[in-house]
Amino acid sequence: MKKKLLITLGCSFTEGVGCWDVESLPKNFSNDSSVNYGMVKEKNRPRFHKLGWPNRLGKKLGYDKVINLGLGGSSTSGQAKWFFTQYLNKDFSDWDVLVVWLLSEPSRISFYKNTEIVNQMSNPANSENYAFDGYIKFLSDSNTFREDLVLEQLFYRNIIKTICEQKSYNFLTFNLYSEAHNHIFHRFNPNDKTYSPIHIDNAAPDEYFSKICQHWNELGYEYVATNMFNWINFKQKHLVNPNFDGEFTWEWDGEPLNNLI
Amino acid sequence: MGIIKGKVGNLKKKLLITMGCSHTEGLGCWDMTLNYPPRMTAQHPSFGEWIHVNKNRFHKLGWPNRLGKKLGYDKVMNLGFAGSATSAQMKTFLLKFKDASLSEYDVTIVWLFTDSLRTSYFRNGIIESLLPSNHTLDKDIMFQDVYKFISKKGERSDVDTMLDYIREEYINRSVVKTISELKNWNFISFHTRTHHYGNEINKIYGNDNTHFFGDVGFSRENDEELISKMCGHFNEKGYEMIANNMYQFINNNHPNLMGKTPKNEIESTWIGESSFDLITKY
Repeated sequence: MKKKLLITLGCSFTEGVGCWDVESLPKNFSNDSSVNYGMVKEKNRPRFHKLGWPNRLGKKLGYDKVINLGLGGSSTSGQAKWFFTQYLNKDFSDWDVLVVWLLSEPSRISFYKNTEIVNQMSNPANSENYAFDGYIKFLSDSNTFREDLVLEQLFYRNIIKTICEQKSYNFLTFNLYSEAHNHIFHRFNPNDKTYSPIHIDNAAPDEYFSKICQHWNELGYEYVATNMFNWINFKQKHLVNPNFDGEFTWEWDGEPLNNLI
Repeated sequence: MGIIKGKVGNLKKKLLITMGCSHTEGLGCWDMTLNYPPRMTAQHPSFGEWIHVNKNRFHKLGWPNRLGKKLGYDKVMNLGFAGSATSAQMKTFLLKFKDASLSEYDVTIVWLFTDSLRTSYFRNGIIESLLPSNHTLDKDIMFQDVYKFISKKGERSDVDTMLDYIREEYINRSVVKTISELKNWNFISFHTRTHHYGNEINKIYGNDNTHFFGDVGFSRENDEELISKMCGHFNEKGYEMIANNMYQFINNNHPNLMGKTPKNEIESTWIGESSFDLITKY
């Protein structure tokens, strides 16, 4: 019997941002006022990666290994490029592979710049945000603004889905913005059983969110992983491994550096 | 041995799927027996209407059907769409063929790449391409915004900027090539800009025997005998030259893709529409 591997894709909510080591943080530390925010965040990163939803879901599913490609600030197209360039030719023939993608805000875009995948998102403080600002301006007179953003996202999602299917990997998608975008996904991708329409943090109380960065904290990630697991267990039961008694391992591989092609 | 849905015995029919821009759609094969306005060019107000009148001719007489006949194939599906970006062409391909098996055919994809600077996005549910010179101001602005971002407001060299655009093109190419390979379809590509920035293309693509790194004929874009005076694209003679060069590359390097004997006629269909709602899946 093959070992089971979970590969996760997504943005900061998949990277695990929010699982701060609260006791070690400087007094009054926050994401908008602290000059050393970046440095402290970097120090907490291994904790994010360990305590986010990917490892929690992997354990609940009874999988042997998790590879988490989640990266804060990344776009759907950037995530697709990263998976495509780094994982397309990896030999996983000894594994049963499940790819779970938590889709982020669809307006984010990506380009190659200085040989790297560079993501752009809404950021008024970034004076070099030309491409994102131009993109939003370009779509501003569209009658179907939201639909167009989601179509672009859906397109990149479908590339990875198609490749996974051809390689006999299992594939599932959850959506951070399911409430707003489910109807668009269903219109353009009807009868797709690999898209979960659930609102993964629906009714989550305030204490499930980090006060520092407004992402989920450990409680929130546990809540989200449980919701994901319950949906998979209900709709895709064959993907659950109830008899797991092996060793669980994980790695994070979300840094798009040195990805020269 | 009977004929079973596209198969004769165990011999599959051969299908050529072609991808590209106006040069693949066949723009330039004008019916010169028609009464065009004097000094007709692409800037003429009625140019679009005349394109419409000639469209079937373009699709029939461009390089895709010529190549299909030379290779001895049974059918051509031409996705070529004038003014489209490489990413738009990939999107159209995926939307139409991602769920297709086409198991009754031996399938070969031939992609003639366009200017690498073009990009595309969905707008109003349509795949819109952005070119260095567009026909509308909002597209021009968006194109410039993207260029400004990638070139760092012109601080980076033209070559470095172009390399990043080619990286984007390469990813698009890799997606279609990978999906083709996974479906057991053959894949070959050519480039319209080899004579302008072939070294850069070579640098990013590396050693890939599914791409022709030579000039497929576009260095002769100014040869009056080969181009249409109305639009500057190749005419029938020009597309014959392109098809011949493609054929030579395939014959020399991928003899397994050759059909039995060249054909005088070929079944063909143009499927280049780009609206999401209009797209027919195969």
